[in-house]
Amino acid sequence: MKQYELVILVDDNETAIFLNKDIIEEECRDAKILSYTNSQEFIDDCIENAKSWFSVPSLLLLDINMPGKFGFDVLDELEDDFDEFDLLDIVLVTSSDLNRDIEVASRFHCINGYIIKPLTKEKLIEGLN
Amino acid sequence: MNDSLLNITETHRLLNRQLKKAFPEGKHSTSGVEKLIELVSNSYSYFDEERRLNRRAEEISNKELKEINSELESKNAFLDSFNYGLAHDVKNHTANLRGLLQMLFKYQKKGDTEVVTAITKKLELSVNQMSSILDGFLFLSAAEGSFEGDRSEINATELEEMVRLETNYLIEGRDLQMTFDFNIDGLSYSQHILRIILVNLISNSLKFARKEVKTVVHARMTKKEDRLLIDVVDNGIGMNLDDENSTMFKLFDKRRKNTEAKGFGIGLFMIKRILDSNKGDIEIVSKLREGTKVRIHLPIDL
Repeated sequence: MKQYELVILVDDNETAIFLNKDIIEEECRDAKILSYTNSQEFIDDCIENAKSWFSVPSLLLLDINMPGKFGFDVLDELEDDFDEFDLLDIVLVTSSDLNRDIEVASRFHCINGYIIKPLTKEKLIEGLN
Repeated sequence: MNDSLLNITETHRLLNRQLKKAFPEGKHSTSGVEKLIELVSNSYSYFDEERRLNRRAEEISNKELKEINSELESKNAFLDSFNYGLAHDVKNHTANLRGLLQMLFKYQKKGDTEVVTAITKKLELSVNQMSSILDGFLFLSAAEGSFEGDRSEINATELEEMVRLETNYLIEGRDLQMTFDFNIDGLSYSQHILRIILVNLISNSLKFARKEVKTVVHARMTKKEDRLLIDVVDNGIGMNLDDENSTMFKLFDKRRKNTEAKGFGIGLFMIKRILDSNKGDIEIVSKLREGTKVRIHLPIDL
């Protein structure tokens, strides 16, 4: 797996963050980990910190179904704003195996993988390929 | 045996088979799963009812047919969101439980008791959340929210404790001032219904709190003549009511875009149902970035 320097977790569920953080801490030992339970806060911070975030190898684990802005809304909003957005590896981590979500995800070129919760080391490696 | 019973038995059998596949050693089978089976069966009986309506429709006039069609449409829309929400919520919590169990095994092996304790707490929390979600859905699928026969004298201290316990998972690590002020001496009402209303209103206040200020939530219940007033006031992110009011009571209305205050799940929808069937009313005053005041009126004697 790529040596990420920054991993960002966005999920409205604290337990999911707790679980995903544990996997990331083990798989990306040297990476700085940021977590957000509010998708709007993530967008705001991303806009503010884009330069530093996108200048290092970064990974975003993004939930789909969140109150306020959905994962797809987040990508919609950020994708057009930054040319460097392509440098970020993005994996959706969701409990949804609905075809309509998978289909919407496939329309986003910036998405690298789609993982059905719970996240595991194996799923992460597979999702990134 | 009629069709509907056959269907339920069949559903039970299929579900049991799926569950056995998912949990081959039967280790994780809990009463929650039993509830889930019951719930899904209930869902299927809704479909049966629709089918019966359909059959009748064949035999009657066009005018009545049109009416029944529109009834079916709204019922279908309800079932769609009901099933979507149920599937999403249950899947989410099941995934959390699976993940936590995997993590628990890992740290048990390592002998890291500190982490094991933390995971155990999260497991307990997840099970509680799951069970309150299932309670909510059972409540929605079974009764229409009316409570005759479920009346007892309300114990304010006990009610406050229950509400605190059920909203506890939203509180952790937060700078919060939450007060309860229940002046309801001798009130006879359904504790179940009051708990659902308070838990859902307070949960919304906590979920939609402003990060930059100390969270303040004040819950009050008062008797006023023949009515019970329930107020929940917060200093949260607030809503633009012109935009939100008409749709905020829908099930799982989380998909709307570009407004700050969104994301009500089944909570307000349940409250709406309770109010509809108990002749209650709701008033909401809210201002973006200042907070929300919700007042519920319920007649004490129906």
